[in-house]
Amino acid sequence: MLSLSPDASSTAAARKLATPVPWGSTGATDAAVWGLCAGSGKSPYVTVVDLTGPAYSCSCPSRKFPCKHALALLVLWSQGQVAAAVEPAEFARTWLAGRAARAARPATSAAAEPVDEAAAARRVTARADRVAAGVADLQRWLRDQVTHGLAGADRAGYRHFEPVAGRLVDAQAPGLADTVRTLPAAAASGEGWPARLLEELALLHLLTTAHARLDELPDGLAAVVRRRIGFPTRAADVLATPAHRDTWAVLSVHDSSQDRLSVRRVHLHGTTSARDVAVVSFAAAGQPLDASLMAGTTLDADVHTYPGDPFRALVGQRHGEPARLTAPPAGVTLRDAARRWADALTADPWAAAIPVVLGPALVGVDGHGAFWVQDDTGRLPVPLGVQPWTALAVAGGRPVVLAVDYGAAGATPRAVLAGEELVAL
Amino acid sequence: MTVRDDLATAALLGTQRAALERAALTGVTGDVVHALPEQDASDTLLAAAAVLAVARRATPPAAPAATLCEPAPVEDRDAAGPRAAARAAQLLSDPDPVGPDLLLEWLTLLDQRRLRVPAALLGPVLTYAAATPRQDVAGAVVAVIGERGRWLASQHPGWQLVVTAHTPADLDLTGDVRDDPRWSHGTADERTHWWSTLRAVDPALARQVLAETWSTLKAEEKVSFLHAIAGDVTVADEDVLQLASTDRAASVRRTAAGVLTLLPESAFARECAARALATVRLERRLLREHLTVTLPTPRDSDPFAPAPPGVGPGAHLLTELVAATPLTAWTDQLRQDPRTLVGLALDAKAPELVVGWVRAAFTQRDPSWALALLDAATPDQWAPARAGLIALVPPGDRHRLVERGLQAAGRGKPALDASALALLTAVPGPWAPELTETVATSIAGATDRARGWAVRELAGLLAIRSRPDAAAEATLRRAAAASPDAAPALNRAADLVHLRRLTIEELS
Repeated sequence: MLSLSPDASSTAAARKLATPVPWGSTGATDAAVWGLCAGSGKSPYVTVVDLTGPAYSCSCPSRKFPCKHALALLVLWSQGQVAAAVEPAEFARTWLAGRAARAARPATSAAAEPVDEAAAARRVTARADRVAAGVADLQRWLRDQVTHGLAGADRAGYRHFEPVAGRLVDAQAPGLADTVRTLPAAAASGEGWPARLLEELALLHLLTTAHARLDELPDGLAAVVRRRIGFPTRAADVLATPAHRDTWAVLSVHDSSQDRLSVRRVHLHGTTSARDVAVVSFAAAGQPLDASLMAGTTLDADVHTYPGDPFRALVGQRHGEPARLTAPPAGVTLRDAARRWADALTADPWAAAIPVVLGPALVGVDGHGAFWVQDDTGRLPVPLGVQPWTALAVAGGRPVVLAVDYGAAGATPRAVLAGEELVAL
Repeated sequence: MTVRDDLATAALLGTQRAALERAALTGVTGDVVHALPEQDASDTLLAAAAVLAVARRATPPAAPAATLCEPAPVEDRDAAGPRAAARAAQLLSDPDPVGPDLLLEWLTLLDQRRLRVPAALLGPVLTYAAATPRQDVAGAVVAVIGERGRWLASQHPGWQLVVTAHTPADLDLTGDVRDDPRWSHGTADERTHWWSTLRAVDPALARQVLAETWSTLKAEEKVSFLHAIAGDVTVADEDVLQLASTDRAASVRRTAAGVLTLLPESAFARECAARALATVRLERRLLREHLTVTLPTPRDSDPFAPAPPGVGPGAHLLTELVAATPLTAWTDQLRQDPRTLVGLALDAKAPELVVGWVRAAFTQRDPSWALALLDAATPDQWAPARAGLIALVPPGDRHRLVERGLQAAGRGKPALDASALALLTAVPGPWAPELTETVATSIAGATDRARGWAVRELAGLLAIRSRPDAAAEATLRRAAAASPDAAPALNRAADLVHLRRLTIEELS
């Protein structure tokens, strides 16, 4: 969003304003975002952004374009903190209507809108066709792999896979391209690699098969397949799903980087519903990540889950200020967590991990630095290479509650709760 | 062979060579595949593999088979508060060269307040302790990790090493200590560590245990035991040192000689003294005392290291003998005070004597000789070597010596050079306010070319050695205001002094 900024000082100023605090009467449709921002003066600034342009209008005296208010509003909107509305607010309608009228004029009156819609539909169809071609191409390639045999793939390196990934990027299927780029690692994973590589190829093949039958799939699964292929999910579509209002505890904020992108994964736990969701946000490398959710706080807010994926969510309307998290949430047993994970795979067979609160559970480590968690219902490893020494230190051999990412390789602790203390890992 | 293996083998060979029998697929995989319409062999294989893949992903993987550790013992100290912990976390990642010193101060304060590192910070501090070349910092870490830290380290081999190295071994003196497996079967490091602990508890028993096994030890083991003895050598250790000084291995002989020089009461020191004194004669000519030196003759049995290049064997031997000679022998025998003797040796152009005395003053920690040697107008090239003696002289004399050192470097006006830096490095903290003032002023006033690096080094010293109070900070800021060139370094030093103040406040 901030790439629209005219200069660095506007970016910084916008970032400061990109919190719900100074804003009021915000709202958004597919075409516009608006809000009133309290400034130093008596009356608030009226800020409206036409998303189709984008074009900006603000009653502030700034000569910068767009001004910090418009930028901040866009940032808020991109973070899902602007509630969806059917109609623009009164103060936004005049300007938007004026713009619409101007846009319509060159295209000779009433015929303008249908033409635009047709063009948009053509673009959507064109993209769908390109993706379909790319998916079909991938399916052929997958078939070829097992027809001619995988022998030698372990020594082929990334050159064997990169052209395939490149074609998928061209076909606007970035999700598939990313998955193909993980294949060299599976191929070079040592003893037993053919089974691991075949597994990855088979899951990709399942995705291509599912895509071919997209129209026959239930809505939720279709949405999952489209997302795995790489169709972007619009925040507006997520925010249009029913809201889950709760006092959400922010249990962990975990950052990682992949492919020149910073990824932030926030674990929210509903203190009443006991529902766990992950809010994932991205930023270009070097750009700040969304800092609106702080570990160790609670927030009364509406949370909207992604279509087809009950574990990934966006925060919608907030109903209050964040407060300090005082009571640690109760966890579930390992057996229940395993059941939840199986359910998650039923909804999305390609899922990587789901957020779970485990506990009370014990953390252990063997002589080679391999960790595990256990309770009365079972034992589960921590994925190889993940070494939560701090979780072990905080637990001290006594049962604790752990916020984890639960996946096929085991549970990765992200935060440990001992007594009132929440320690991020 | 499992179905998964069968599928992997078929995929490895390729379905065009190894056809996949649909009928051979059983269980869930079979159910799913048979429900699909008849299709290409590769599609069938991939579909079957996908079913298995999802099933495997849904099955919890096997955990390591190890058993859980007993819970950590209850702590007898409180944990440092959150602000202090946040400060330590910041210091742990401070890339500043004085970062380790700041951390050391934090750790030492924590220990003095009888506090411990909070559990959430144990991983980072132990990682730091295991990696740092600063053994003083590692030791300070181990002192404050508490029960939880020791419990945690016992499960991490790298951390256990550093904890063991800085913790006295736990001795059971009820039975025969020789049966302790750490002594009978331990590695060289474990044995030395165990033995040092025994030596601290029961020195006589330790000596006896070592004497029994001495002849069976390898040269490098003997050397490490000698190093262990050097820390607190007494006359009672003379026997083993004497034995070692005639060892077959030159490394053992030299180490033993080095340790023996720490022992002025030993027969070795007496012999060295006799030989050293025999080289010197005091004569009275033209109403003045004169010192004449005859270089001694090396013997095959001398346990000293060979002479460095460019130094004659006699001159080298004299230095070694003087270094091992009790300093009182000179004043007693020649009936002159240290100051006069140093003057006479310089007049006689006998640097071997002066260098030997510097080393002897170090090991025998003699303030009057230290002062005499520092006060003497020795040639510049010796300055760095004797600078360390400043730690031995009374605080009142230190400031005078530093001022003179700075004057000398600037030929009249204060300046910085290597010897001034060496002198200041050796002045232990906390510095008196006047010393901070003098050093800050000389940094601000210095104009010579060597200033760049010397300023950075000295500013680091100022940051660490000044008293962590508002007065020192103000002194540094004043000096910074006086010199735009040195301002960044001096302001940084002032910031660090401020940081130290905060650190101390957070812990009180």
